[in-house]
Amino acid sequence: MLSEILLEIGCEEIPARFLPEASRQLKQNIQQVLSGHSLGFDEIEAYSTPRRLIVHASGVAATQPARSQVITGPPLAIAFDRDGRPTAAALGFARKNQVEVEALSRVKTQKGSYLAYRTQVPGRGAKDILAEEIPNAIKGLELPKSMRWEASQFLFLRPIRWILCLFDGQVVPVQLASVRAGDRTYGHRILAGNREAVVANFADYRQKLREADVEIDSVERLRRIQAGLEEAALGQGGHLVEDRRLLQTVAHLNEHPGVVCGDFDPEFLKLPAEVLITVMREHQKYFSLQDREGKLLPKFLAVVDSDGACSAQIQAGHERVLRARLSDAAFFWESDLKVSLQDRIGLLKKITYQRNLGTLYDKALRIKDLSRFMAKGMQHPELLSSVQQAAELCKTDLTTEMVREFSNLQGVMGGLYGRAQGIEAGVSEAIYDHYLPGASEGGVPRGLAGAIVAMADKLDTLAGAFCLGLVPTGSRDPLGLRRQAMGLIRILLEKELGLSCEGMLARAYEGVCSFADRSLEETTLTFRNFLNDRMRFLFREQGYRYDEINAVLEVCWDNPVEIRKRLGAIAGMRESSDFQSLATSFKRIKNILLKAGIDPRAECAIDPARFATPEENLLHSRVVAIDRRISGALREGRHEAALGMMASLRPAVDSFFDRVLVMDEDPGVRKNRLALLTFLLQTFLKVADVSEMVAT
Amino acid sequence: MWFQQLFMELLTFWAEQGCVIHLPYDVEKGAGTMNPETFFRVLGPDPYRVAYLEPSRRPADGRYGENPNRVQKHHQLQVVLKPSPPEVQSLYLKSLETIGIDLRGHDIRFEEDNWESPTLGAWGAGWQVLLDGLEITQFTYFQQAGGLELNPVSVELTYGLERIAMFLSHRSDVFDLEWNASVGYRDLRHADEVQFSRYNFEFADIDLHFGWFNDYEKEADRLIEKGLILPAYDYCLKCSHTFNVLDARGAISVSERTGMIQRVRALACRIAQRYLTGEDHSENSGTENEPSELN
Repeated sequence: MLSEILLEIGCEEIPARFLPEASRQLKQNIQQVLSGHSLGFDEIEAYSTPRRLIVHASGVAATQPARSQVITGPPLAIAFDRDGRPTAAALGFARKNQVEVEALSRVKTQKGSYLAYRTQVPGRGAKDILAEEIPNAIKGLELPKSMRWEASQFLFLRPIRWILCLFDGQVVPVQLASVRAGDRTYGHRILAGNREAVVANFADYRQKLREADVEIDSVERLRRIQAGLEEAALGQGGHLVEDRRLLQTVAHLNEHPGVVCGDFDPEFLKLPAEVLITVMREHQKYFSLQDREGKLLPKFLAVVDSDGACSAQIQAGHERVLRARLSDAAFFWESDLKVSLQDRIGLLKKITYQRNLGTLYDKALRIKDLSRFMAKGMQHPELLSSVQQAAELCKTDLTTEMVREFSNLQGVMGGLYGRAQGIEAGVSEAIYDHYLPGASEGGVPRGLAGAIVAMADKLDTLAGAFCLGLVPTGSRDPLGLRRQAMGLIRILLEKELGLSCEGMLARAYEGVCSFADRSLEETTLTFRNFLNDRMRFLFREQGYRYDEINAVLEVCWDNPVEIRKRLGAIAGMRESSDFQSLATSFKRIKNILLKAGIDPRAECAIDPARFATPEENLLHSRVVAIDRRISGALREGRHEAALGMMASLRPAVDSFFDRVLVMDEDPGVRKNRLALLTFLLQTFLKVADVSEMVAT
Repeated sequence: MWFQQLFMELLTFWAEQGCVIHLPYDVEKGAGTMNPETFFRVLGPDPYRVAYLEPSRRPADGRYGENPNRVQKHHQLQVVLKPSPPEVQSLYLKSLETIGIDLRGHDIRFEEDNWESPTLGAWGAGWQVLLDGLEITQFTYFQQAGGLELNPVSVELTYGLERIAMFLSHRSDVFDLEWNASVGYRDLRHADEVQFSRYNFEFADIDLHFGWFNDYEKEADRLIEKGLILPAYDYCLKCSHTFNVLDARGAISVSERTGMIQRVRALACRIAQRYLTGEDHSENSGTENEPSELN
């Protein structure tokens, strides 16, 4: 017989940010209980609302399958006497298992033959198992911020107030904290007055909760909200300002979502759209509307936990709150504007950037120096003055009221205040953009000046952390270094800036070296490994294979644009037979040199006069010819050509290995041949370490 | 509804739930939580229920009486239920109905907001209660106070009275509220806002305040040593308020700030510790005594 499990943990409002993860884990844990106890099931699904975590499994086996068990008894030699009669040992074993000796069988093991009792153990009932295991499944949730609320000291996201736990319509006797499971659920707290309902099964549960104004499926709630928002936007003749994250959040804040549209005084439109949208989103979780041209409308959409019966009253309430919020923002905007960004530079001296890394003023100076260094290195002298000014000012908005209130507007406010105070457009744009890219999907700075300041800021942060030995471990990355490094790489790639990160880091290190307790070499090594991990991830995502990435990173680690070019060339070449065989030869050469104890990076003195065979001469002349051409091709960015030249060496390499014994008896000849191979290897390594490649 | 009616009705409601109706404490403080009726009562095992009105001073929030939503002194209505009863959320909602809020006609939500007071070494898990998007109450399960784990856990409800009153009377300017039939909020509070804003932002003597801060700290420290915990706490509160004035005055640099908060916190934690040991609750467990008569 197949049955269903219905588990609902009724709570006081669980924070929206924890809900999806808690729900996912609960399902996973229950699933593990079932599979761990060999209880088959057809489907298992999780649902959640702020007040409940729900798991439903259908087609669950009512009992575990019976399993056969073998209990090993005494060795046969002891169990039977010479005449084959059972001894006391055999009789005792039979008695213990409550059977006759005749019912026993034999097993052969490595140690010999034994008397054994084979039996079928009936499976346990699912309900018993669930009663035992569900509390563990719940306690086993890894919850980030738990709390206590009662004498039992039970820890959970928020207080548990009821548990509904049914197996095949019957209550599974589970107890958690001071709550005993039953067959009741409760409707919407306000709309249905928390109405109690007795539940028979999942279908009944869904039905009764729908009647009691609760939609348990967050996906369905999200869909409903989205439709409501779009309908409301249309009704207002506007377009919704898309906000996926906010949409996800509000879907976890309601049991019965509805959309209310409100207005605000058009006078507030004098504030920048960024500020208006942020106030609405961060403080009130409202969506914004814009017209066809992308201009903000003096309207907002609020997602409420209500059925729309009293929406005029609710709308008026929300409008009043927003008015107060926008008045505050307008106050910040006006009072912030009274002090110029230039005059705020001095204030940065009073703000610690990081313990042991000076003040924000110090950081701004370092960013300025790095930006100048980069603009010069990139041959953009015309950007020198704007990047320096942007760097000097880029942190000043941290002293404004608006950024103190909305930290996510850092940079943006600097740009907006700068523009309003008449700072050159290129400079204010660079300030505005210098925290970009924010998220993994977000865009990079629009202009080159912004890109330079953004990279300088990130490099300084990375150099500062690494020179103090602060490296993220596991999920702990309080300084957001991973994001900074990824941002740096993405800017270089998307702006096609073929710069050496090693050189830039060295310059950044100069800035922080007075604080450093790690040497430049150590800092660079940390940086290299850190950067390479990010690049491995990024290029894997772009579809390159890990061996291709390793082959390139092995010889060129600090220039993402160059790395991408080489990856493209290798991915295009790898299928060719010349290339494959070359990779094999390459590995062979590496091994030979390794065995001979030769450092492949050492200078190699080749004496062509000592070559004893035509194959040696041939290979040598081909490598010499190609070595220079490969360098040239790489300089000109012709990576496919460079790889093609490598591949063209195949016949010469093959015939060399066919005819020549490297480890000749004559030490002079041997040494010369090893030197030739070293030279060959070094030529190859200019492009990529193809020994990292695996055969396809 | 008049302003005075609002807190009188809430107090009556909570009196009926078995709360001691207490009075504001006569030392300046930033929040009702700092009243000894909360700070000390949540420590240790003894059950307790209390409700009181608390004028709360936040010098930096002053706006010279010109901002319709911000004032340097506002009024909180504070309720502490120890231990937290299982039906506390519905009790709270009932209290809203008592003051005339028709729950069915509004959007009421409990959104995560974990309260923390660095100066008191206290934190709790809970929500801000939103009424049509307006934060009207901070709802907190106290987890720690004075740096000590709390057991039993108390629940604290802090109603923001001005906001609720504005909501109920559809006013968008706090100074338009009616305190009673004949006296307005403006009559009673406006001059205070103007003068204290000027004092806190412009005239508070910085050197004197820094001196007081040090003296109060010294006095609190001395009293803790003598085991005079309750007076010591007064001076800890005075430190906290002095700090707030200096902060509003713009006299505290960012680096000083953390240090001064730490100093107040250290006092609060020591006071909490001594309070418990002084009363001979040295084992801060007391899991067993679950008071049923209060539930």
